[in-house]
Amino acid sequence: MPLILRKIRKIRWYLPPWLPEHDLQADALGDLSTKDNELSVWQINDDKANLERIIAALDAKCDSLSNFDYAIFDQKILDENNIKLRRSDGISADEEANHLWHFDLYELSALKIVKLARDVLTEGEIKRIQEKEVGRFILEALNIGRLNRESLSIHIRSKLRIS
Amino acid sequence: MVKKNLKRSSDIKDMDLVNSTVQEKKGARLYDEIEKLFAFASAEEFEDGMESEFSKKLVSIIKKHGKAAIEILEPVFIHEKKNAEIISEALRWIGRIEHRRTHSIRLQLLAQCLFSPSPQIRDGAALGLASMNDPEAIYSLQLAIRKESYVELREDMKQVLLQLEGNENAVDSTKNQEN
Repeated sequence: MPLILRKIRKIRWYLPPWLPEHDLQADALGDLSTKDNELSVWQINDDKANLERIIAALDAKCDSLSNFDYAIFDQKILDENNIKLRRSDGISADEEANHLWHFDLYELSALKIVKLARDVLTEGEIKRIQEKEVGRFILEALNIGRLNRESLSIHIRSKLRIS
Repeated sequence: MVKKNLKRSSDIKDMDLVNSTVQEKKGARLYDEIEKLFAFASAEEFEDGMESEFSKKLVSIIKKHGKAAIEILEPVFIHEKKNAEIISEALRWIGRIEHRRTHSIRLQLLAQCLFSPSPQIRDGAALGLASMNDPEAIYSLQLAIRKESYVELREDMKQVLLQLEGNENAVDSTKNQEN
């Protein structure tokens, strides 16, 4: 079964000592904030073959090169919570990835979001890719022509020493 | 002659007084500017790698005022008198600024913030140091890793340490080749 990725801020998903057991920080819900009760996510192959590509595509769209924090979880969590998924075009620097692997979770209720957050924390993984590694992914994507240098911000080009 | 010298000396004292008053006024204005910046930031949403009104203004203040700006920010960050998420965001951008003149004072501030009581601030400091990519921060990071109580944050700090140690080794091997 494929996996689902959502860009987050890892620190919001830590478990501080004051937090009751089986609970999560309220700030974590900020990473799952919806628009029109929809949430943008990316589908990752179960062998994670497209993971680095999607990270490069998303970070390449940023103003500045940065770390990439993400939550990744089995798509079955969506089924278990009756969360609907539909394909839609993503907004990343990789056109093909936008068509192939971007989805929206839709008709989301507040309770579904809280339950999803809980399940992501307990059954999924919260990860960080350091800025330098993200830079390497972007350079690789540029070398094989998945990204073009014009799509990168001046700051990213300068940091990666791309003329 | 003595009289003349005395007059010059009192002139210098007057000038010093005028200069220090001007400096105090400038410092007070800068302090107010930073206060306002943090007040407005509480309404903003931050995303890694994306500029915000807050980050743009912060970078511009540091580039314009240099050391004076960092000296005002330092006690605010160390004693956590503002929202931790905003300070964490500030630290990320303080690490990203390309500004040679403030490099060492920014590095020093980030290193100090590795020991903040707030995990959010410690995280922002570690990310800022990763952006600066300067092996000078290795010792502070080693100490912070030893003290870090959050397992995940400790692991992230270790990744930054590995990155900086890699740079140090690269610098050492270049030096050896040159010798």
